[in-house]
Amino acid sequence: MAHTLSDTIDAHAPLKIVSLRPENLAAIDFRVMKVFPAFNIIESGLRDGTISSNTTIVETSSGTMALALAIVCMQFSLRLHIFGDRAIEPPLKRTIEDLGAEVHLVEATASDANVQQLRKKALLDFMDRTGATWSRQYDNLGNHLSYARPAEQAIRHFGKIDILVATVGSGGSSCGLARYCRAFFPEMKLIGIDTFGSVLFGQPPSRRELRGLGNSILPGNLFHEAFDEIHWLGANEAYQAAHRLHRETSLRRGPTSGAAYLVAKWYAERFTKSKVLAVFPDDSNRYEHNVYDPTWMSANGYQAVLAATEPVLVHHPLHADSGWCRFNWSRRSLTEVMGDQPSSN
Amino acid sequence: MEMLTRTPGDGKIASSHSLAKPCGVATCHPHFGELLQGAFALEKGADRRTVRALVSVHMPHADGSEARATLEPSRIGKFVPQVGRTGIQVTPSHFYKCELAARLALDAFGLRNMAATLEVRTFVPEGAGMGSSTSGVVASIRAIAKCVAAYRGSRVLLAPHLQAELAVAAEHACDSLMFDCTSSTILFAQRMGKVVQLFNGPLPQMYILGFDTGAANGSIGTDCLPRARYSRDQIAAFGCALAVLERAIAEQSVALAGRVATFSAIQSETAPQNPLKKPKFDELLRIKEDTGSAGIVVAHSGTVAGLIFDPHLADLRNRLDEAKSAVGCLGFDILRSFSTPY
Repeated sequence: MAHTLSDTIDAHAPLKIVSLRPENLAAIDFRVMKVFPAFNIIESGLRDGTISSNTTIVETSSGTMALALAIVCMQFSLRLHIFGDRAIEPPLKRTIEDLGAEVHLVEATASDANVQQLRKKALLDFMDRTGATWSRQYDNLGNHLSYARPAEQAIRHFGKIDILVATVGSGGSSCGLARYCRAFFPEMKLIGIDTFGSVLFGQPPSRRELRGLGNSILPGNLFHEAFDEIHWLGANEAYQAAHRLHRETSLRRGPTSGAAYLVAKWYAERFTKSKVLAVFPDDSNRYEHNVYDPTWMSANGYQAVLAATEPVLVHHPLHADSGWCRFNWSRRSLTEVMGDQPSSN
Repeated sequence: MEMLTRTPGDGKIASSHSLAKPCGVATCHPHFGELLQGAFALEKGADRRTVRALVSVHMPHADGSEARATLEPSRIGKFVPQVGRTGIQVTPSHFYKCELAARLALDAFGLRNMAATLEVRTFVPEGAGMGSSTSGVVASIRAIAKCVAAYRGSRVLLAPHLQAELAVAAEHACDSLMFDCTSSTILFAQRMGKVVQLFNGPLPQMYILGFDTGAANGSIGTDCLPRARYSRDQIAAFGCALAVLERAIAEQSVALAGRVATFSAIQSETAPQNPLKKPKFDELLRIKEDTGSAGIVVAHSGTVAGLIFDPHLADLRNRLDEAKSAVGCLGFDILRSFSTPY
């Protein structure tokens, strides 16, 4: 059992460290990154008895965590209910359902500011009725722990890491990878990538065009003090970056990987003596009919000429409004950065 | 094996060649704490299991222990590996681990009824974490092997793996002193007596300023020391330590080896159960930073600690002098500076 499972995880996320150009740049090419936290959360639940063979697992997700949990729960023969939104499009929904999970979509458009509250409410109602167990990807510290092996592999193949560039959603991969790398390289810079309208780094919640990073709530797994700099990217910037990643490296990946590539390359070109590692969380499966479809792109107004190609340095998170913005977070807490203004959560 | 053909030439224990009583003299070098010690989730076939293991910092140029063994073919008996019933007369008499090791070694060579006398001298302090116990045990095993070679009039091959197996049987947990540190690095499971991971090359050459943090607090009896218990988070990080170590060896980077050592020292300080805290550890970290040292190596079950320096540093002398006086100011006795692993 354990054997087939680790084989399955390796098949979905082979933990390949890819060297890119310039030569001080590399990426962890995860493909389905979330199988690591999904496996870790379920496995530790089974180990400490909070999950048993007849437990029903529930989780909120707009995509990859849902798929990853479906893969892991199928392997452990656990029932799974996913509470998502329209970001789970029909092909992904079918994939998850084929693995034996049930998908409940809340009646909110994918870009609603309070989408996580709506998904969570549906989930809590379901838990009240059925006594299911919530895997809590946003607050489960097993989420950080699951990135130890990816960190190990990155160090093994890339050596000392000077700058880590990761998109931020749950805080699991960014803070988890940084935690284990910094056990040896405490001076390593952590660069987080967020999007406009996400509350993660001080912006008020609003409609988000770009999904797969950012959040409408503040997850417990996010340690603000871990971050040296934050970049905010718009949807067009991330979509164009995915195309650029494909054109320049032949790796066809999703827009979160594109975003990581864009920002990591910017650092690698500026700090030629620093080794920069980008985190690529996703593959292109979900984006063939939109981001990688020129008709869809032009119909929605996403044009390469309109995308920002350089970050604008801002002096407060509230000044980051469109395109590509950068802010010196300097390992501060959210309160230190934002002052005592009421949290947007 | 090299040690079997070499004539014991350092003369610390006079080597007398009696025809009637085959004898052998052998030595083993000490170590200086561990570059890395912890619990590692290692893949064993399909499963991952947690194994306690370490990477010793050898002191190949220093004297550890010397043992002189003499077989007593006239004193045949029924002996067992139990203190007092081993048929081994050991001096000093409280070196019972050496006594056991000698019995186990004779048994391994098929000489179950053979008695022997064993004299062991140790040149490193006990309880400091420098391998006084294992170096005595290994020297005893090697001396017995020489006796057996002389007794049989033929060569006896004593593989490091067999020495480890005998040493762990004699003392339950042993260091990895029986393995050659100059050609490869090993991760050694100290309670199993087994190599659990082999690294492709020696550690980079390091210069270590060694001192004793325990002069004021007395030495540590490693036998009664409770095992440090590590958290899942720490065990996960120990896996990363192996990756850093692999790079340190591949790049022959003292800087990276130093990171591993400092990390391991901090884990020893912060284990959730039974941590072994070194006095003034934070001050030591500061001295490391101030003097350009690559890292801090500690004895994870002992009192010694050291600052690691890259021997190729341009102003090594000055930095060492600076470090010596800073460590002296903390009240620690400087023991010695040495080069490792060669």
